[in-house]
Amino acid sequence: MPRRSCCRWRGVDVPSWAAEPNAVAGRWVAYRHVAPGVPPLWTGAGSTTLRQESGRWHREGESLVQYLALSSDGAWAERVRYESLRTEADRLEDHRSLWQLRVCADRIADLSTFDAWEACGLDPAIAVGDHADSQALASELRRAGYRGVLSPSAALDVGGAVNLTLFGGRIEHHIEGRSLPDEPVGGANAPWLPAILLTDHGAPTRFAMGRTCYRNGRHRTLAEWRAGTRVRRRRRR
Amino acid sequence: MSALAEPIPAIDAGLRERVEALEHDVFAALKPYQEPSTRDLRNDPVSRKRRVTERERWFERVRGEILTLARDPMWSDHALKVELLLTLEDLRAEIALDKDGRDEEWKVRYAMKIMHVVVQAMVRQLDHAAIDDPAVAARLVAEELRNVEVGEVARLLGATTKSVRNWRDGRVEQIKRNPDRIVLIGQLVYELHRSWTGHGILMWFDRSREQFGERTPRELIDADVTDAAEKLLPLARGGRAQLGG
Repeated sequence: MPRRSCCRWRGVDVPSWAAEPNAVAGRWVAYRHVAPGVPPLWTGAGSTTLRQESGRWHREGESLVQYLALSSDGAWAERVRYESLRTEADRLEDHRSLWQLRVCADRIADLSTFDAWEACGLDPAIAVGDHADSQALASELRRAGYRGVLSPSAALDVGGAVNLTLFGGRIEHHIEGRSLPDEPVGGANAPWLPAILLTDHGAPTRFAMGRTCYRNGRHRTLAEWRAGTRVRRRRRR
Repeated sequence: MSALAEPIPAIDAGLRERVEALEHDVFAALKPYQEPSTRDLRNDPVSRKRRVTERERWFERVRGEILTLARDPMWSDHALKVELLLTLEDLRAEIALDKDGRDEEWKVRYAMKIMHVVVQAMVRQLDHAAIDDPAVAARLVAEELRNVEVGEVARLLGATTKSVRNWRDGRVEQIKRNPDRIVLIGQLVYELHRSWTGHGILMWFDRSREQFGERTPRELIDADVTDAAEKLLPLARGGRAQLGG
């Protein structure tokens, strides 16, 4: 695949991919925290109700996005990072709902490892760095027909911690008294995602808080990957 | 449901009640979802008639509520009114296509869900409009932070301890001191109160933030209320649900 042109957003050049990310299909169990009483997924009818604040993979007003983590600690770490929770008192005053969801989808861009970013000619720092670059990349992914992206967690600084972000609105199919079904109503890519409320009064775990990379922090997993990459390159030489 | 246990007195309390009644009607139709029972399916000609009739009645009731709301001057030029009427038409079209009332592809249910989102947005809109009144904002903050020491609440709001005591007792006079600050804090507390205890909310205002150069929300408010509102309202709103960090 030839290198695509760079896109420009707010004067910042964002290098596009040299090779298209692998488009994967799969079935995942994912986690998401919300304020108690708030629906677990974003959906909207029109511009007035489409007000989702900007995040790593979208700009406010551009579209709706579902931010999910593939582990419960991943979801909690997102909360810790967003609210800058640093102390036990901070952690225990926080009361959140944690949802478990079943996702069946295809055309998900597999950027789940820093190796995958490098293989596509993308700077892995975008995965965990400033949002402007990842937002521009998200626009490109949407234009190329991807329905979402798997990416290393910027918040949970643990090797293999991955987030799944789905582009577009989704609706929860609230399941009570049963385990998650394998298939959502309407099959893969349907708007309905089976969802189980795990707690409506939970706080981030100590583990998640201890392994959270804060906004201005150094992402240890990325640093270790870079160090390992340098060693591998030296060995090859 | 409203975001607050105690309804915020809106400009027109009757309007708020009507929106909440509509929200309740739509939510009740969405949850709990009952698959048709085996018996229903076995006696399908009977159960079909019952399902279709019940849904027609429900739709007519909701339609009436929506049209009454749409005629209220509060929503005269509001985009939410247009969205609500459009969702009503979408719902009508899906119901018309679902002849046996089973909604096997969940298309009627989808239209109901979108309608519910719009109605919830209307409730939020009413709440925000009410909190723009400093007296309402003061009462909300005093109530949500009722377990916090009165002096702490007074310092946060830039008010006297006597005033805060009065507000806690429901005696809210016209507010002349720091009305903009009180309104901003009221709007922030409205966004925060679902997740945080009263003490947690107070701590939120005193936690330094990397994105603001390690300044705290309280420091931003102390420096410039208007500038603080631009920074803090999106921060508090964004805390409603997980965002990619």
